[in-house]
Amino acid sequence: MIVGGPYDPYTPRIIPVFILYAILFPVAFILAFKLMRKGRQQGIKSAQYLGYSFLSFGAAILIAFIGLLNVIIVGEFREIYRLSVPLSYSIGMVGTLFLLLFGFSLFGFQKKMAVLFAVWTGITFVLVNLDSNWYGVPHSTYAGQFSMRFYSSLSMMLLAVGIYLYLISKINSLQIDKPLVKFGYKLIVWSLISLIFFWACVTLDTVYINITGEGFSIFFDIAWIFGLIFWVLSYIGLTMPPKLKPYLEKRILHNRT
Amino acid sequence: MDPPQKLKLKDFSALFFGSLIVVLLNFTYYFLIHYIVADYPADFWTILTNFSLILLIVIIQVQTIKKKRITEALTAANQEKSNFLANMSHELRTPLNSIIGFTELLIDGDPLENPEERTELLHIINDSGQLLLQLINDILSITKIESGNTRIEKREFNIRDVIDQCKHLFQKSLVRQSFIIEDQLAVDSELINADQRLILQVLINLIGNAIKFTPEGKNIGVILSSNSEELLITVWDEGIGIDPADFDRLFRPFSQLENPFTKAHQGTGLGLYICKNIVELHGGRIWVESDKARGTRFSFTIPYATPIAQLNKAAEEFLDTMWNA
Repeated sequence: MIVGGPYDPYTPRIIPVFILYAILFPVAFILAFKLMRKGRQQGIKSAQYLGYSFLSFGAAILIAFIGLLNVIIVGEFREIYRLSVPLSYSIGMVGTLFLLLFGFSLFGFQKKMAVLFAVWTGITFVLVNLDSNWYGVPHSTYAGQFSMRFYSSLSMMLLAVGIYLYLISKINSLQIDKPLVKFGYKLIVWSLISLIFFWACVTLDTVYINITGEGFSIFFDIAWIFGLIFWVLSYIGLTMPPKLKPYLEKRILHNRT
Repeated sequence: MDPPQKLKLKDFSALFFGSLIVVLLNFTYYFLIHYIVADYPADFWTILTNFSLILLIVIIQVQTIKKKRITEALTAANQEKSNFLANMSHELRTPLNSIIGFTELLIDGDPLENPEERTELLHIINDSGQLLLQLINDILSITKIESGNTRIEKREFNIRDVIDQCKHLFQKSLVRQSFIIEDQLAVDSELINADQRLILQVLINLIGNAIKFTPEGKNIGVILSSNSEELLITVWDEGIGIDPADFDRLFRPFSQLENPFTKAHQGTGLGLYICKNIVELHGGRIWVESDKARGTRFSFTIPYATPIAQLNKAAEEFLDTMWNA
């Protein structure tokens, strides 16, 4: 982490994302605790892994939220923000690894894939934490110098997308008889597809930072729209709220007949 | 196929020399920076270049080891094929020699002289022909299995029916021994989803062996049992038993153990190898337990559901449980 100024000044563009973070981290924690409780009660390891994954995602969003809160309070992207970004990314990566473990516990362990993703996470972890990412540093300060930001984002995106694609392919190969369960898995697949778009937009935002020096571009807002879709779809797909279940059952059965 | 040999130090030569080159390049680079271009910052590109070089070396090393492994595997496969061909030719020649030899005797001899000896010779020719046919059938089975062309035609059937079928098939051979069926199957666990023809083939092989190697007056039998995931079938006998040192050889092709019974009952030495392959094709396991004093027990399992079906079921149960818990 780079300590000391100059600092990027506060921009009102962070407010929508800040509000979204404030909504999303409690949702993530609620979902995580629900999954972990159910997993423990029923002795389902995969649910527990999924719970840890959402717990990590929740923690990542909470840390990002604290970083932005600090920016709003002090009016500059100070050290807390600079620390929050790589920390949030790193915890997010841990969450993604738990997603992989969830996949392994449900679909069987694959050593080669485990080694590949573990090594990749290690490399990405180093890339994300390098000072040359210039988190919260004005563009003019590091203009002309090498910026790692794009490569670390790209590596994170590829890691996450690799794991999501593995899960999507595994879920798609399932032959489920129960129509509602099948629909539940469809929702999970769509939530993962949303996450792929989320990471694509985060990477585009990084490209924008590299070109203009300004973060929190429109791509970041679009990314978090996909992020929101992910949370809604995965919440419905994984917990199936009791009020929604009979309605969906009726709809699906109606469509089949 | 023999397991691949352990990697030796010399296999990592590319990694050693590659790393040495990187270290030398680094020294040269830093020497140039510090003494010629003073105060030049060691930037990210240095790290990236080193990283890329090391990555390249690792890739080359992995490829070298992979190539070595492939060569080893190909050599071993080739050796195995040669052994198989040598064994096969030998096994084919034995019954063929007796067919040719005894038919020549019959051709040269007087048809009216010694009719009993003629009948005996004809029996030997017939036995040799049968053995030859069995050998060719076994080789065809193996070739099909090994080339991955064996089609498992799965359908649900009752395992008790197959056991009864076996008992009926061996009725004639079972005059000398008693055949005991011990049924420990739980309710509703007699139905399995497998290829009935292939499972019958396994049972015929195992029961046939049990009959062959069990002296008169002793018993042989089948035990049917199960757990929630798989059906367990055990074929046991009170025969001559097998030395535990020979267990590994048993499931290899053309492996016949030396004992007075193998000499008396000719076999192809392929039966257990075929059984192993059939059971494994169904996702099951086969093993042997034996005691020279008590006899032998061959056991194999057949999973009630295929791994894919199990996976589908597990995935279905996962969401269902999550929603209803």
